[in-house]
Amino acid sequence: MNSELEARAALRDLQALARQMSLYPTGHPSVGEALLHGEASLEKLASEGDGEAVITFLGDSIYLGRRLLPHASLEFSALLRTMQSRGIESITLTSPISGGDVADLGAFVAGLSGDVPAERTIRLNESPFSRSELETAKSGGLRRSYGRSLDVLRGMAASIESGDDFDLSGAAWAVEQLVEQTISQPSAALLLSTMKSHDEYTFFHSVNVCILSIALGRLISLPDDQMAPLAMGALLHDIGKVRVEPSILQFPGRLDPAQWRQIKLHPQEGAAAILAASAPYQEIAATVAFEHHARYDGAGYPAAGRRERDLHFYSRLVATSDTYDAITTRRSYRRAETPNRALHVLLNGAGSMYDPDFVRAFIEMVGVYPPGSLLTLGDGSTAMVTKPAEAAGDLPDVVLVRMADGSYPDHPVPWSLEDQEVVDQVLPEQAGVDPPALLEQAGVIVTTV
Amino acid sequence: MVEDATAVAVVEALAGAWTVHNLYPDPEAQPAFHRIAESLRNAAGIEAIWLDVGPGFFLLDDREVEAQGEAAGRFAQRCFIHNIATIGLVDPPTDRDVAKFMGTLAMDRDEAVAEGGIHAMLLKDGVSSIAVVSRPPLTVAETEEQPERDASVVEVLHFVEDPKGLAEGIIEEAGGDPARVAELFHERFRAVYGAVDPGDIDAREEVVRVFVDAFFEFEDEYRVPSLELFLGAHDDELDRLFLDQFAGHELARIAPRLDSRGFALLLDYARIATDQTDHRPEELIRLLDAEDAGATGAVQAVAARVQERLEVAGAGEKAAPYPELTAQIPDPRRFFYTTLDTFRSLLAVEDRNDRFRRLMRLLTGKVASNIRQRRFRRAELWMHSVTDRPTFPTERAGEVAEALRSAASLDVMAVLLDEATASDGSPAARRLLEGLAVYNPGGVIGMLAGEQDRLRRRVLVEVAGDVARQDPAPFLSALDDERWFVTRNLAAVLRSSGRPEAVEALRRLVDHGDHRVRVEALRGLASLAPKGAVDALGAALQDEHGTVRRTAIGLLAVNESPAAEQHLIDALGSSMRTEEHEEVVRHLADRGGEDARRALEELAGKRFVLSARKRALRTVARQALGGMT
Repeated sequence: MNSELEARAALRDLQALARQMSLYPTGHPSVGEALLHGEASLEKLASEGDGEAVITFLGDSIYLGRRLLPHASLEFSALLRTMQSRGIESITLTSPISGGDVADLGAFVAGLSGDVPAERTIRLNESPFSRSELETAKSGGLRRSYGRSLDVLRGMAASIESGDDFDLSGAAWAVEQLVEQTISQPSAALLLSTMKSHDEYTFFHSVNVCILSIALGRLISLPDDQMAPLAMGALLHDIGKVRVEPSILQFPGRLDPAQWRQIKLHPQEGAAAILAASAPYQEIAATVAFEHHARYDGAGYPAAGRRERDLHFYSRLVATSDTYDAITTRRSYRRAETPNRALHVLLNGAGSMYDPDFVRAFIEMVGVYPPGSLLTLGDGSTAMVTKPAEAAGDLPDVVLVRMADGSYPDHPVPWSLEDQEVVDQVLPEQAGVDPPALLEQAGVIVTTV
Repeated sequence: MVEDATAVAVVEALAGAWTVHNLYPDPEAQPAFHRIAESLRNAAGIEAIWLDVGPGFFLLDDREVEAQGEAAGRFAQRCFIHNIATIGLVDPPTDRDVAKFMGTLAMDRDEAVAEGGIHAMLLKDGVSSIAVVSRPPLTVAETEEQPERDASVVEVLHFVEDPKGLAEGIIEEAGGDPARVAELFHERFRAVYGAVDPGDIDAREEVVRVFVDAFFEFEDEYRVPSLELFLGAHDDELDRLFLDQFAGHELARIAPRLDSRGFALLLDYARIATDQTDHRPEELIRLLDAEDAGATGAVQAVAARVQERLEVAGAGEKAAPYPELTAQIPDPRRFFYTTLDTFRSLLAVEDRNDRFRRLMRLLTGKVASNIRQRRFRRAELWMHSVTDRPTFPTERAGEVAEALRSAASLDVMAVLLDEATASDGSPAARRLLEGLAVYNPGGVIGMLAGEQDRLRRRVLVEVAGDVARQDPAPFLSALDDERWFVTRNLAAVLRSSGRPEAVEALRRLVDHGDHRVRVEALRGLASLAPKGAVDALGAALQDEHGTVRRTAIGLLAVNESPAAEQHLIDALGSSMRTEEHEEVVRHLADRGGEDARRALEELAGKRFVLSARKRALRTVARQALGGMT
């Protein structure tokens, strides 16, 4: 059975191919390279699915076979809309995939040609599944809110890049939805916040920080009317990165002083951009964006001597969530760390980099093993935490996601850590699983709209 | 005919001004004071208003003015103490006029009498918009008819010169127990004041004074519980009377020592005392603010306490699992101020020219758009973010000024003028008008030129005067305008600028072809260079236009120099209208100097006067001499 990870790889390559083809002529090396990648990943997807794989684009969801791909639906929402605008509802891949068909598909998706793939190893709109056969009612309100928040950030980024002021009213609406969903399903929200994207790191990271901050705000009894302003601050805290050159953000090594100077400008860029907008909750969001890299002890940037007052409460809160999510995410210059390791980093920095009271509250919120943590058990199987332990000494709720023999169950299996030894904590890539997708499958993420 | 509602508005405004005057060391700087003066201007802009003063109330045409609240009663009592029979608003008063009036009322009655009385002091201060008529002085026989005083009153009045003795007596009686001292002090004040005959004005004033003085003789351990008792009943007339004697900074010094309940009561009292119904924290903090350097620490402590209370209130009643964090939860009402801090920080860190320019565009937009949306207070705070304690490098000052100049476009200034002259206009709009006018004096001059409405013109002249006080050059260079009313307005601006550079320009305007410009030029000269103006004023006595001559007479009359008196004496022999001559005679009599007396005697002693007009003048001179001591 092919996994969502493989489907995401295939979709990423298809998206890249269409982009390269729209930028360069057919014979360009970049197009050739993209074609090779696309052919390989589409072939892998088809061959591991018993020789055929069907990807369906329906509404705001992407399906592989009958199965909903929740993570991919969010990550490739732009591709999904492109497909829908070209009238493509499904792609059926039959192994072995022809390179010519991949090129035809790329040109079709890029809008360069109206020719469907000629060799029929890739067929458009010939899905064997009716709509009723697809996993329905999987478009959860929480995931939808997540997706809308991503769209808001994408829109803002485009505005900032083009030098336009942006409208925050959409963001206000999105964060209000996210607040409502996070408060009603805190564990599920924390799980969803483990969603990562390498290509759209800043956007996914921002929504994750937003969810974590809402949950933390809730835990410390932040009044209801302050949740949306806090969420807005968290969602937009990194928006200034849009003005940093992508090559610097993705630089796979140690930054030189000039690159570092540019990175350090993103708080003030973000604050200025937010101030230029006019919408609910804008005021405090600018402050959070400006201060989220300032340290609790006064160090950090912008320098304390040039700030008008002590760090705002929200800034200290968001800095805690920001660090946790950043550490658990893979970046071009370092690998992702486990949630447990991220908590250690927070603890080490408590009182110097981070507000110690927020660090304590955060750890109490997510537990020693935060939701989404992948635990290697004594028998070699892998379990995933779905709900943190309620109290010290209690065990978290888990589901089994990989068997001891290395095979994957059709669906995550509710499990117990009673009499089980946790021998290690591993990363999703190491375990070959996608925690948010699994948890939606397991029904942990409630799918009410 | 003045309507009852107008009279009520005037009485409440005057009473409000009196309250604010007593609360703040610098009442004119308070938005509430400006608002009050504005309402007086609006009322007096229609017609003159005369109100009779009773002991604790006001009368309009023998009908009691039914003002709301106790402040009007207290204000009436104050007027009554000063023997004021009638108060008249004869012209729209400026903020300064109202402040001067309140300042004179705040004086001890004997001191005021020694200075010539309230009426004379107002004239001396140049306040002509507010007039008072005194009650006839009591005869000796009447003053001897003192009402019989209660023994408790007599006993307390023995401590008028020794309030410490009263304080020590109460402490001794209470055995040094602070709670008991507070009880006794509170009870004693209420009982003694209640025993004073309502008509015994002296005793009423002195009882309050001796108790307040005694309060300040207490150590803190007695003051705090005593004040708390009064605060606990601040809606009671007597307790409120006691509390009203304290200035804001005096309360600020005591406030940090109050417990939570006492502090809450103080805030309640403060809110009521200043009619601040929106309860904004910064206004509460400002309420207790003062220029008294010694109170700075106390004010900061009060500010922290206010903030703390607001935060606790914002967190609600729920039990919080993280008290150390919930105690820090910010008040959303402060978010805007936090944003301003962030903007100021951005200005401090931004060293790229293009990005700094973008911040300046942002500033222009914030100020202008908030004004257009009639969010004047916000616009003002945005302006202050760059004008108060600037955070940007000094070399950027030009760019900041340019940003504010861009914000001060004519349409924006017009919105501000509309608001500043509206009856219920925002005080912030007036302050913004003044603040932004500095960056666009040309715009203000243009607005002045085209403004027909008297009140709006007056506001513009005041605003422009403030601008000219900093830099009169734009106004001096615009004096050559061919339109007389533009020149007249600019002359008024220069007068209020107080700048000596304006004197020469005003001197040139004394010969202007339009009499209205000449009048304003004379006023300006008399104001800016009283000695140097005398000759110009003397010459103006021969002006072809009566208004100019009367202006010159009035200005010479208040000029103390002998040369001014000589000009008035000389005027008696000149060709003036009879009423002008009569006015000169009265002024000379008021001056009372030897030369003046001789001139009047000469006039009065003329035997062979043929014309009726000159006979009438002789009669006036004789009457004036009769009034001279």
